[in-house]
Amino acid sequence: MDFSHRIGTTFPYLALLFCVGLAIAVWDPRPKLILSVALSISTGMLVLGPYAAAALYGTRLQTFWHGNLRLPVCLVLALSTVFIMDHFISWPREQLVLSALTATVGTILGHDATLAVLGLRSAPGHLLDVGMVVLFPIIAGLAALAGFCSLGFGLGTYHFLLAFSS
Amino acid sequence: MAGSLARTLEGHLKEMVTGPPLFDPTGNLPNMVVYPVFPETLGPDPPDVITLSQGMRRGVRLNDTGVVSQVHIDNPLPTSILVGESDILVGATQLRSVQFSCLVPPGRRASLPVNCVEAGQPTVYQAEFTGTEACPWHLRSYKMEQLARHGDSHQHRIWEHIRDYLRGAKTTSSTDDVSAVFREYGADVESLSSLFPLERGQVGTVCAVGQELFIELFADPELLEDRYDETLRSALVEAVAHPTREVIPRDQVDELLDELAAASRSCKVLHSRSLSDSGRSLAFSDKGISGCALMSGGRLVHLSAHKRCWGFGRAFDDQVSEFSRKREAWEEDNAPFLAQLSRDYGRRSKPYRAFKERLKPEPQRGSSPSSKPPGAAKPGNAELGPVPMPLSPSIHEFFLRLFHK
Repeated sequence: MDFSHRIGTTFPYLALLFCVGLAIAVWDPRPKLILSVALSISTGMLVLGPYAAAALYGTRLQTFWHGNLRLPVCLVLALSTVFIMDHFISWPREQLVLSALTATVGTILGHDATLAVLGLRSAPGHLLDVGMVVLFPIIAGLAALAGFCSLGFGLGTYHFLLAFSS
Repeated sequence: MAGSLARTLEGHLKEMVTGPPLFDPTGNLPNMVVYPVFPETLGPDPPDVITLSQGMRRGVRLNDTGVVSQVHIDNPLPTSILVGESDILVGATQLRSVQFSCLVPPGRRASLPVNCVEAGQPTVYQAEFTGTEACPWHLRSYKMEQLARHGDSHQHRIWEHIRDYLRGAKTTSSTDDVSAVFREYGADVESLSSLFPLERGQVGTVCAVGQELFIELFADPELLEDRYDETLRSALVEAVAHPTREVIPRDQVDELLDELAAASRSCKVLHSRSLSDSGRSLAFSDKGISGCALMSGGRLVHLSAHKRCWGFGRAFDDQVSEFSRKREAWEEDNAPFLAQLSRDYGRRSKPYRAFKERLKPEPQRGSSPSSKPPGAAKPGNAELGPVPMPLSPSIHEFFLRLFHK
């Protein structure tokens, strides 16, 4: 399958992120909320998830507690990162909660994506699409941003058309 | 440590006797002669080890880790499992070949060192291996040389070697699967294998194929009995795929065990992190001989080796009468020895069969050992290598599809 076909299969998930962005725009049109959501999801997938996987499998953490340390490690990494950011930036409570939630989801997705990358990289014939590995987390964040911007764009277009019709 | 292991191996080889030649008197297979190897004496007790194929019928599970060089093994049985060097693991995933012989202790989950022998097939995470197949000797000897030289076998070289080998054997495979050679020549291999029956009490074989000698030895005749088909197929496929009318004469075989002992002095100890407590594997290569041996409890468990005798081959037709004469003479001279060996073997085989029939997965492990994810190591098993596990198999599957070109 080529790149466009594979990205096409992710449209339902990207649409969900788009709707989340749109909902945030309706709830609070200031950009700081959507920026933290978009950055948290992309950073979670690109940085925190792989970091969690490295911490688990690069050390011997995975052998403890019947191998069930994966979720706690992902949670600790995502939440501690958000709290450290909060310490420096002093986010409002809703921004803190949203960032913590999306960073956790991003970290979990990033952890499983890292295992998929490792599996494909070790397969013969170079089956890993590095472009998709880098672009998908960015596209996910951008989908949320697009949802947020679409409200302003839709309203602008509506007023523009209204101006023409009057 | 390597020196003491080599001395143990040398001592073991001194107690071996090479038997008379087995060959095709009709001349349909003029490039293969098999020599059985017997122990000087056979102890009263059968082994408490079973082979991998026997273990898999009784609950041993092998799963793909998603990593090319590792396969996960779960042994729920109360006995050790002998995983033989180059056993090809077959399943709904990429075919793998075991790098060197290992003993998997009772109730242990571990990672087996393997090589991929099917370059065009991707790994399928957690896919189960359902059986074993013999590995052609050409690949085995190449891997042994690599192990002896570098302590590891380079995966890309293995793939290149398999491609060349399949081309040389006039075999096509869309995924460069080394076992395709058995699909190509399986019928011939099957029909010719009856020429070389297993003798009672036999613990090893020396196969002279063209200008090569392939040797495989086990600690106990029961282990060879369970693996004899694979042992024979491994060599027979070479004889069928590369037909010639030459074979190595008997005098080269007579010296082989002494030469093996000498070659094993320059050996490397091979490491399997999760199985380091259950035996030591060593690889050696010297003077045209390369091999691998597994030692446990101060004795040899399994040895496989290869000797190149290029330039020493002689026409089979010129040797047939000599082979027949030597066979008759050997059987006449050693009749009491063979009768004693047969009696001793008979006394051991019944308890060993009963032992295998009694084997069942340990109750505390549950009736379905594969129900737990492979990385879920049991308490106290912290010495095992960590096996990566996704948080959600469906998310993992989604990313596998998304990132797969």
